[in-house]
Amino acid sequence: MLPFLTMNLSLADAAETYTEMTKKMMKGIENLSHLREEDIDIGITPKEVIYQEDKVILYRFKPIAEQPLNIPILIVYALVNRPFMVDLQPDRSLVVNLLKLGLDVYLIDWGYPTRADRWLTLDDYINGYINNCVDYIRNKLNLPAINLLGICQGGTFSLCYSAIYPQKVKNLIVMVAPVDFQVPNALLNMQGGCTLGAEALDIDLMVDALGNIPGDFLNFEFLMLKPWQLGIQKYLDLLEIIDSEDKLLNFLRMEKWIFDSPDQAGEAYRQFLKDFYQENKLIKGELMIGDKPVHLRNIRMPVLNLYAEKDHLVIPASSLALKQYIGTKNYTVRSFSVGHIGMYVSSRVQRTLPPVIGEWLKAHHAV
Amino acid sequence: MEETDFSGTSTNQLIKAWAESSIATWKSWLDLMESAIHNPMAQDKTKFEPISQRFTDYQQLQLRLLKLSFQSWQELLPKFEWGEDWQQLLDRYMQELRTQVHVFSEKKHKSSQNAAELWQLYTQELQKFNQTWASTFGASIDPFSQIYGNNSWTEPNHLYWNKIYEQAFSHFIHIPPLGPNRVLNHKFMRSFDAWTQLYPASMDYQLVLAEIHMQSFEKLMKTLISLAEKGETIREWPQFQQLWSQTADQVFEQAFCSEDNLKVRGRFLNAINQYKLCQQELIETYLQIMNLPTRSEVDEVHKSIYDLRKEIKHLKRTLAQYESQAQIIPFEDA
Repeated sequence: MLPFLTMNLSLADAAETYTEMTKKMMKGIENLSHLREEDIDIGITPKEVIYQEDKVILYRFKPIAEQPLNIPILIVYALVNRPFMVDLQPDRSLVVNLLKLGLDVYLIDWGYPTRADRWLTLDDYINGYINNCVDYIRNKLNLPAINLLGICQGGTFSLCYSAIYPQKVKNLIVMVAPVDFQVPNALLNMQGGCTLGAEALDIDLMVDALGNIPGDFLNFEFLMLKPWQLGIQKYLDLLEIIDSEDKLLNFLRMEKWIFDSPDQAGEAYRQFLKDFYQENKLIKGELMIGDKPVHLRNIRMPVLNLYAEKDHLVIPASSLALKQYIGTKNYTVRSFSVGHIGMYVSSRVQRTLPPVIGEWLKAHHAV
Repeated sequence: MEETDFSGTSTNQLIKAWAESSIATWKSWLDLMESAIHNPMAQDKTKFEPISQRFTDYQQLQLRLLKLSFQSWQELLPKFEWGEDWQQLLDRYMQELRTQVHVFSEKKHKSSQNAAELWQLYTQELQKFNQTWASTFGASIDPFSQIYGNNSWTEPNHLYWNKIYEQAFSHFIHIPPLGPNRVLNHKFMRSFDAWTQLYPASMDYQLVLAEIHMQSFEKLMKTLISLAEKGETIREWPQFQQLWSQTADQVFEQAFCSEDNLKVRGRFLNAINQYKLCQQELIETYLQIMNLPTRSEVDEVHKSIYDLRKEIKHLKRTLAQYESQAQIIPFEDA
């Protein structure tokens, strides 16, 4: 049967619908015919490599303001997916908006782990790479501490880092960061074993079998959280916007980012799943990163917690739990009425979120 | 704005043709999606092929369900609007779906109990796996093939089936094997055992997904009726598909928040990984015979490099600390 409602549809309506659809299709075909992979560019804001260690690269974005704030902000993104979501396109770039607000912005790019990196642990990522990047910036600018902006899993890492090295973090911003991994009705967490442990996912077996965890597996995991909307509906809706070259390019940029998924270093993933998802050690105060204990109450610097109200990956309750475990009294929370991805790509959020960060940082600049 | 006159016969014919073309356009779009949904990982069996294959199969199933849901709604709505018994029609659709799942379930149950069929399926799977290296190394590994007295690389599987499994061992798969090939035999048996765990686990997972399909279909139809009762009848295709995907995702999420379903999914994933480990053991046996490096050996080398790299970084840091301390010690104290 053909998927089009003809019942009670007048001929006039049918004609109008068809005319519109035909126009869209023709324009869409024309748009697609001259688009090439090279046109789908993301992460194009000018930046320079200032530090490199193994596959990790530390970038500094070229400041826009003549006199940027003297304390820079370091963006720590998740290991899952590439960090350039924060710089998706010029008119929807968190980085560009922060630069316009006069901030000096740095970003850690984790690179693409290969099988040679399967033994990397969270100790290497947090006490190693993050700490070395922070030290590099501190030494270069002769500063005792810098600002951190941790996003998603990178937010969780930033919390660990700030708890271990509080003296090196001036202000901490976390965005859509999971904190309590055992909040109810969080499907991603349940699939990761927050309720059933190894019965839901035997992570030891998985890492032993696969070495690194393929990025494709993570893609399927995320798609299977909303299989109809993300697997089918999204592509049906494409027909609605295919006539607009700008919208089509936006769609393709998102598509490129979503499926550009690095493999996860096996040992780091094993520890993340076990200690965070399955045993919730971060909030229990039982977490060890290498030989260093992580006590969230050591976080006494000002904290800004940003979360998405419709987030299905990191549900709000998971982020909001932060308040009761950290030691600071200078705690601010702001929410945005979007989903997880909307925090980066929603035009509305890109108008409101960067100023929230900019103003908060300026207010805490001398604190 | 001037209203177009659609009363003329030729105009009607023209618009009818347009409407039909419009339907064809949507159909082409859906067909295009269906044909585009293929498994790009199909060639990449070393990664996570079972999951990716399952997902693409699932996408095709979703599209079929979308079409079926739409067809049902087209039949259901006129009955509702004429005050006829729509529930009966819905029950009929549900029954059809349940019958299909039941047949699938019965087949699965039967094949799980039929060891011969299981072994056949397993050997088919193993043949594919053998091909991945046999095609590369070909005749250069002739001595190994002679162990079995046959040049065919699939022959060992048949040999095991005929001489070991079918005639003697079938249900004593865990008994320690004997003879010079006991280690290899044991690995084959372990792999078969892992596969027999994977097969029903995979079927169970598909049954859960099938049940979710049925539930989402039922919920969608009831939501459509309930909206129609409130005077908010869904007539537009975009509205229909939006409602369809939202409803189905809600049902999906609720279903997998249940521990029973999470366990089914967990058994499936864990069984895939267990099977993959067994496959790797077998591959490594072949690689060792060929005097080629194995995955475990390469991992070992990587681990050594990783440890050494870490140690060098630590030593460099320590050295830098001593150097900076040395620089700040006053001359007379040094």
